[in-house]
Amino acid sequence: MLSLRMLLRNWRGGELGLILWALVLAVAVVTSVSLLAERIERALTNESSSFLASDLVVQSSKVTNADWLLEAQSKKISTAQMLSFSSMVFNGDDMHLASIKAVEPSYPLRGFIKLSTTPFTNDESLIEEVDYGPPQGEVWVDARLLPLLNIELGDQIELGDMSLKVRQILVEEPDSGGSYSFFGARVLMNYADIPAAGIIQPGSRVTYRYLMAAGVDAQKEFSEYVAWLKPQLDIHDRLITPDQAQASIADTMDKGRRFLLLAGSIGVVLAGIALALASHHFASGQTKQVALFKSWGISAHRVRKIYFQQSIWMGLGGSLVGLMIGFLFHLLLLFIVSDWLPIALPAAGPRPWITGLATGLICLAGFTLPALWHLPAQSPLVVLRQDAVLKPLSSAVRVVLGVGAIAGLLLWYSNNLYLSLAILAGFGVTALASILAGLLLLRLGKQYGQRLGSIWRLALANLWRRKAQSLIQMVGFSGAIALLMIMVVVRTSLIDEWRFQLAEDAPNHFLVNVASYELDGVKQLVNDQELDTAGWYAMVRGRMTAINGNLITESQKDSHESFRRELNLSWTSELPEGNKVTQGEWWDSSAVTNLATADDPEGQIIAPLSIEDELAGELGLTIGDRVTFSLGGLSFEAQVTSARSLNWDNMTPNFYFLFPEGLLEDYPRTSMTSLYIPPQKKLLVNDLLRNYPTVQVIELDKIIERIRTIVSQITRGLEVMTLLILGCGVLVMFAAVSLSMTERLQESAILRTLGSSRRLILGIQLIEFSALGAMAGLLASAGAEFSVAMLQRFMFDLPFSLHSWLWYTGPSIGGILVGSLGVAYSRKAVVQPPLEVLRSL
Amino acid sequence: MIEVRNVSKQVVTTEGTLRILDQINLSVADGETIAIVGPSGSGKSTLLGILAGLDLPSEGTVSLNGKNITAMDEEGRAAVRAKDVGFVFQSFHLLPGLTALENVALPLELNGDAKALETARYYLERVGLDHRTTHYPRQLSGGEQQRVAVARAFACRPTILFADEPTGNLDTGTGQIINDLLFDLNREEGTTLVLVTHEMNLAARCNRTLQLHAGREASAENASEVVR
Ligand SMILES: Nc1ncnc2c1ncn2[C@@H]1O[C@H](COP(=O)(O)OP(=O)(O)OP(=O)(O)O)[C@@H](O)[C@H]1O
Ligand SMILES: [Mg+2]
Repeated sequence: MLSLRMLLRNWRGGELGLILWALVLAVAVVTSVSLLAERIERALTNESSSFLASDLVVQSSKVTNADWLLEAQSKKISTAQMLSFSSMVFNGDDMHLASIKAVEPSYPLRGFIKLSTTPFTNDESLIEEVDYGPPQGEVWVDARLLPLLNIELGDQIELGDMSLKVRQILVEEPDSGGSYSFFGARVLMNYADIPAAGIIQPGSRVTYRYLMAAGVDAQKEFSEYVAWLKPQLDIHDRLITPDQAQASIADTMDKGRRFLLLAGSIGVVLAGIALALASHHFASGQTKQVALFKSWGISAHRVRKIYFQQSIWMGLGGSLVGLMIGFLFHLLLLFIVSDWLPIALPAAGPRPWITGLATGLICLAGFTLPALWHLPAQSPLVVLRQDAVLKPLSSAVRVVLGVGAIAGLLLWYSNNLYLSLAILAGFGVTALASILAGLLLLRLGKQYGQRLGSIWRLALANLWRRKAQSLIQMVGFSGAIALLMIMVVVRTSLIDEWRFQLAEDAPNHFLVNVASYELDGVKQLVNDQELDTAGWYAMVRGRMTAINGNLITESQKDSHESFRRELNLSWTSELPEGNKVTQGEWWDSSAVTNLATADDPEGQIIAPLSIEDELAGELGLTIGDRVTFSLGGLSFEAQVTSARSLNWDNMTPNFYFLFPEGLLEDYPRTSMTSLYIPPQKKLLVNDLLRNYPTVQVIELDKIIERIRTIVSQITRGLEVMTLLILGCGVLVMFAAVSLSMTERLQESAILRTLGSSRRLILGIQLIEFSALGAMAGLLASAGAEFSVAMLQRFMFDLPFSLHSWLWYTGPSIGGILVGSLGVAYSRKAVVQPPLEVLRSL
Repeated sequence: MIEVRNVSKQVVTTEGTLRILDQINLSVADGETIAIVGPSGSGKSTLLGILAGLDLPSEGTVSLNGKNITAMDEEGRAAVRAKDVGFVFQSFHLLPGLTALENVALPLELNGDAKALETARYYLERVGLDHRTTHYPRQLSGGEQQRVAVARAFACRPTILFADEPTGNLDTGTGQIINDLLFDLNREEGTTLVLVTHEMNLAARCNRTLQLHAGREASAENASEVVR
């Protein structure tokens, strides 16, 4: 294995150091990021499963089909049946309309129930997590039920024909956030007690849920089972996936996931640049050796084979070492953040390993082989004359190959076209600008440097003299800086966006159905507790009675509760903040003023209607459909003119049905608001319900607490990832700096033999590198701004914004970082005797 | 056998066309030794490169062992070099990452010689460097590096050896050892020697001398004068 022997000798001689390290680091970074990302992603998916307390749910108005349970049993799929309804619970004369939930002991299949024996606590040490439901004869209840019924833990409450013992305070259920429609205090009981209680009569309004989950080893069976189950569902059954379970958290997690992807992709690109620079460096070092081979009569074919084999060895060796280091590195990262990531992370699949290995080989093919391509054709003449060095493969071809490799890796890695395009475009803009503007800047520097001190003149002239190399370095520096800035900007804007969810005092309760005559009293109660609301919103209640002139049928009523319930209708002229029109058009002010005169042939007003888009889909409503509403006996017709998506992140009131102003104001209205109620003031809810029995209180405090935990976990994940990628960026800088170092050290050593001072030599290097870094930083700012604009627009749904801070941090960070790297590298030239320096080159 | 017919070399530079070699004719028999002498810049290294097939003349032909290498393509010349030619470069061209021993062994290894290291050790011994085999070029003096370069050229046992000032950096004693080695090789293996040198006594040991002056062959009578 001559090629292997040559490779080892090259390595020992230090020729291979940079290129191999770049390769190892490329693979290590990609592997560790992928491992971490995949494991965090899997954890997040598990977490979102816990919002359903399972992996999949069938919600229905009928009891679960026994065949489904049998089939699930035969396939190692765990199941739980669940039943929820409202019912009165009693303790003597005290009573309360509670939200009852009856579960099998296997509930929850995912996530935990949090219990305590101390009412109204959020002290973690008093809270216990269990993964099973209450035993028969026992109930676990909301803390606020105790004062409502005047009972203590251990007392009995009456439900239907049964007496049940209150054993535990229910602090949190994993799937509590799924439903917005429970208004009474929660009572969790055993499913098997239902018949004995005798409270479910034919015709009772109850909701059955059938929960399913499968372990990692039974995923295949699970998808087979789901495929078997789906055709058996009818219109009474609704399939709910974890993603649908929690709109607000799903969005956050999705963005977190995309960020991980972005960070990983940037890691891939940075590693690619580092490798390209290192390969370029390596190839120019090999010219002499190849010429020597040629002078010994080694054929071009033979030379090609030798280098190809060396590359393969290098690729495999580097990738293997990279995989190992990547694995260790991800363990280290996990260790560092273990306090921050309380969820135990599931193991990763094979994908990160394959990604890592492929990265090594693709990078090699995209960057190293093209850099070596011209070597076999090198003329032996180089051994006689230095100027006979053959031109490397045209840089255009190499750029195309390199960009091709990066694009392929990005696409494959991220599986996301927009992301890949945004990064490539940002990098492309930066690189192109670097070349064009770089030439100009270098030229200007040389010209105006004449007027500056002698060190400046020398340094800027040097940059111009080495302009080809300076430009390559500039592309490397600016590319790295731009990518890092992109990542920091996206991270910052995501965290800004989430700040609201992370805010301690984000609204966690909704007060709904406050009648006009109750409004002042309710406001007074809230005021007495010194609490602030998010403002009061007026609405009217109405039912849908017909669609396109056809009355709502019984089966429609069965299929969706919106057909059988009173709906909240509200009005506004402006599109509410956070809402986005997804279909049709929002009414402008003229449509609203024209409303009164826009009569239809029968002389009736047809109002425009804007509906939430997911609900529209579930109800089968599209733009142009006419919907008849009945409000307190009066009816009117409306036409769907737009569909909107809602923003659930900000916890302010959202409306599914919106009308223009000037239509509903005269109907009897009720009001709603959202507000933050801290745990110690939780009893306000009881006071409200006792004094105003018709007011509905929607409690989101528990779900919001969970969102906050998850968002803060994601945020910390982002921080770690950012650090890791920053490290990658420094590697690129290092590779770029070492590109010109041999020549620079040689020059410095010669200047030193001529008696130049340390100040002059380091001064020249400092100015050269800082100038280069500052120019690169400036260009990077432009590239980053461009990329971020694309990413915000297409990937993260964030509003476009200019980042003025980029424009001064770019140049200063670039100047300082590159300048100090350069000087650190050059110090050798002034601390060692010049001859030693020259010999070692 | 080296046959050189009307070889000229000119290069285009910014200062116009430069004529480095002008109408050189030369014939060297097998086993013959010839010294190329002349002042610095007279074209000695250029001629040597052309003779070895490392460079092409602008005009004229060069044949090595009956094969016209000027008519061949680069691969053809490579094959001839691999088989017949050894070269000691004026600037050594040792690979900095390899030890002295590995530098000498490398061309043998490339030829698939199983005993490359042994042979390399033998020739390093003959140039008096058997105690420096594991040293890297940067740890060797200029003269020592030159001796490694000579050992490398010898180790391939070429039929024609071109040497560009093989003793240029050496003291008289060591230079003598190298010279003896060159002529031993010539005697033992019949190797044809083409040497570029500034040293009178080395030129004198050769069968013949080619005197170059500004790219032209100077007359034989003048040769001894110039050397002197
Ligand atoms: N490609 C080229 N371009 C320009 N000039 C060249 C080129 N090749 C050789 N020369 C010039 O031709 C002349 C002969 O060079 P050559 O190296 O053959 O000299 P030399 O006789 O070996 O000198 P020395 O004894 O100093 O080694 C020199 O002046 C050199 O600068
Ligand atoms: Mg010469």
